[in-house]
Amino acid sequence: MSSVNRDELHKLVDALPDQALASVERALSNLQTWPEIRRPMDELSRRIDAILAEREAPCTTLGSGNSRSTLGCMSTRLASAGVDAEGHGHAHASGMIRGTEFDIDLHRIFGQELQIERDIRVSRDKRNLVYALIIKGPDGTEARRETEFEMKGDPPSSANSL
Amino acid sequence: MADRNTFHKLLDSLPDGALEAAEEILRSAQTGKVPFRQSVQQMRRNVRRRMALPPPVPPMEHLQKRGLPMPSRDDLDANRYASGVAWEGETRVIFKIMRIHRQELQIEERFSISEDKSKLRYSHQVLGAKGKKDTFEIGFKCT
Repeated sequence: MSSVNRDELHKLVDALPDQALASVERALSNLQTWPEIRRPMDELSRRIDAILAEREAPCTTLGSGNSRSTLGCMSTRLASAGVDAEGHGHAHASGMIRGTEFDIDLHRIFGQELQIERDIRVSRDKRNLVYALIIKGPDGTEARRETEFEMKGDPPSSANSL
Repeated sequence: MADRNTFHKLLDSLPDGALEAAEEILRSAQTGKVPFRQSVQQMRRNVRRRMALPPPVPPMEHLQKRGLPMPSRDDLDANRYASGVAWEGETRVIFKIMRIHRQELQIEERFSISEDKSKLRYSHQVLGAKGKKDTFEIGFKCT
């Protein structure tokens, strides 16, 4: 049994600043199905692990936050997961395999799941950055898009292992 | 936006187990911490600010454990990213700057749901180092 008094919560609602109302409404709506909030994130984290295993990513965790490092043919990996009070969640992993950067996002949003994968590499002639996007929707459909961007300056030696 | 009566009804229908979490959210909202949302512009500024900072250095113990040398700042700076999340009305916006092989890409993704909640919309825009922009939009049926 919770020690929190509902009357006290009603007083807190009356004192809410107007600019917080939209966010708090979504958060309280999300709490109606307790304890559902955290569970989707575990699923997303497991899925990220499965995707990395599929790719046989020889990952070495080196950094944290927004840093990573590429040391010759060594790959680095960052994986993170988080869910906000409103139940929107996001799990992420990225790294580099043989000169191709991969970046995977799994989103749980509006109760739906969306998987977004990016592969980014230098073209064979080393003039362009090739950006490939794969999006898998909640209904199972998949969309792909590939774009090339002209490069500025020379790529570093880590891009030469293509 | 809902009026405060709706909030009181939401509180009355909360399961007992969720009361502590609700209290935490309501107290945070009073003090302006969570769940106030930053604007998309503020979020983009914060992401750019983070990318302008020197690259964070990986923890020495991780490197030592694997017998790896400390990478140079140049190596660290060549491949890194920063990202942020914000809301524009009912649209979730993610902005990400990726530096890959020293090339910078700015990516903005938008997620929204149709009014009847039957369709999830996703839009994606990527801006390359030399100003080329690619935009893409798709809708998915909700399950």
